[in-house]
Amino acid sequence: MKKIALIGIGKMGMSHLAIANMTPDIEVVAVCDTSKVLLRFVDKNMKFKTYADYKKMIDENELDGIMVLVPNAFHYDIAKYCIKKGISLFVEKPFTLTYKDSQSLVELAKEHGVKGQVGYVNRFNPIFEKVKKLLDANIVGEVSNYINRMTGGVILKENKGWRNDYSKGGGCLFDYGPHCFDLSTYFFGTDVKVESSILKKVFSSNVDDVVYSTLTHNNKIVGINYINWSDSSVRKATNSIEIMGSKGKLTASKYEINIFLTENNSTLGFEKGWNQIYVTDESTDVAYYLRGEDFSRQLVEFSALLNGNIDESRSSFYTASITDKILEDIKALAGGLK
Amino acid sequence: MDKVIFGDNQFFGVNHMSEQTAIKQAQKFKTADDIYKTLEYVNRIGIKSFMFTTHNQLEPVLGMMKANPQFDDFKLYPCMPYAHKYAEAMVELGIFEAISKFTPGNKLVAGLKGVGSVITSNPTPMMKLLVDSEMKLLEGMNVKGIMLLNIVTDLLLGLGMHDMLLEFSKYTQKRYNVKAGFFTMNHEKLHDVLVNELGIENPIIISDINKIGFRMNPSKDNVEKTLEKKDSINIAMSILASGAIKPKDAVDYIKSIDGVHSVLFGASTFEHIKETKELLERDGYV
Repeated sequence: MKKIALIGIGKMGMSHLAIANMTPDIEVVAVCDTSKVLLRFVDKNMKFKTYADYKKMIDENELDGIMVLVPNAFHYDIAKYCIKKGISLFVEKPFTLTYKDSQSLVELAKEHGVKGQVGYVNRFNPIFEKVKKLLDANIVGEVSNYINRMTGGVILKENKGWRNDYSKGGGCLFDYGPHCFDLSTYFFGTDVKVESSILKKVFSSNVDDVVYSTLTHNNKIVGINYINWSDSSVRKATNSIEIMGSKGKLTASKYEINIFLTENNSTLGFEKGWNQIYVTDESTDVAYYLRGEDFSRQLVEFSALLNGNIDESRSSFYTASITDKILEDIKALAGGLK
Repeated sequence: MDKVIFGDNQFFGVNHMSEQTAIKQAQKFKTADDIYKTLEYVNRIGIKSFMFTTHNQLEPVLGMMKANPQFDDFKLYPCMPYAHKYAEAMVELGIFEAISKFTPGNKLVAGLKGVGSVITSNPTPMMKLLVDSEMKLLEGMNVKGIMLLNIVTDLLLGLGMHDMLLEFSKYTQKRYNVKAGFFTMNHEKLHDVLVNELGIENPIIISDINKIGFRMNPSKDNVEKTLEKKDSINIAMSILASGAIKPKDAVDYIKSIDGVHSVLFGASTFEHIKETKELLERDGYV
């Protein structure tokens, strides 16, 4: 049983706390937050020790792991401190605000033998996991190109407040972008280059609402990534991807996969023509469910990482740092808002 | 409790498997009238229970039902809290306006209960306040149970705040004289807490129960064994697993297992509603 603590338990942090508390082979012993109201609430109603100062929490508890769930701007400093203390980490996405910072944490973690995971939850979606397995087994032959889309209805009228400010993590590129580009590197690899990018504003004045970017992977696979957080027709963030290969095409959303093949694939059990896989065909059992299997399964992976059952997370510090690099390159290449 | 209960997911574009289906359904039920007509049909063919989230769009529908005496014996099972509604109201109206919207005519009491809750860090008064404000919509109607949505049930379960589950159960009984029900995606764990730890007698538990074991956590086998204990009132939802199972197979499975008391289902066409009802009622299913 590995002991862990959480830093930052507002909003999503509370869900993480519940999931971590129910994840096998880890035990949440303490939580840290700057909100006194929240800490008092936890004190009165839950069994976890509470701290306002994470350094004190680390000194007073023997921790095997920490989940860093604070606002993005604080990821770097806190992660750096924990790594130097030799504590393995789960950091919410994005890893840090700059590629340089992310890269330095990758190095620092290596130096200190610390294991790390970043909260790219799409990598734990049962359907996307299946897509990854199928691609690794060359289901559509050699992949040549793809279109990766992520849309949702976040900004549907004039954008005010922090979402309209890049320095506070605003803009569609930095809000939705990480999930979208991380999915691209999950499927097609982290040897990636940003070839073109356009950042377009629709309702916002200081940030982008729509992103178009072309990536190449291994100098061979070309992909359009299209992200739009001003799509009023969508109830919640929606990812979908279309992948073309030498032997057919695969399309996938969070719930289903459609595969068109030009010939039978008896090894994998697919027929020539259209094939379908639904999320209900996949194993989705989790020990505890709160907001989707994905969230439970990413914590199961963190538990496996802490318990030494795996050496590296599929959503590692390294893969997350590449996502940060992509975002940075896209913004630089776009050179402004259209 | 009736064996067949009608649900509301189809009205609000919720489909757990297909985003396309969800979009189509949302198009079908654009107005309160569209929803009301479906409920009228449901009532007419003899489905007498409706379990629904206290969604904004339902407010006018409830009004229409209230005005029609044919709905007098129609049983309502509100599920709360519809958190999205509060979040939206806070953004659009601001906190104080939002509170007064949800606590009409009860501003002082509402204010005191809420403030007290923050001061003492005791969530119980806030829970009572939210239940009361949602129940305002249903005043004078035939409410037979009050259900806690799984996002809250499972959050409390995960945080170890089990007492709140008991408080909720006690409050619905005491204030409204109806049983509490609990939606969950963790049937086995919740059952253990409600029955063995909190000692609630025959709690109502609503969870996914279907032939392929979809969302039966931690496993189909464990949930089936829990159902067999028969010390809870179990309502099966997602028996079709959003369309992955054929209706007949879905119903055959429900009939084959022990311990399912009622089935909660939704469908968007009259034809499908009737078909599912008839399948369920053929030779009974418990």
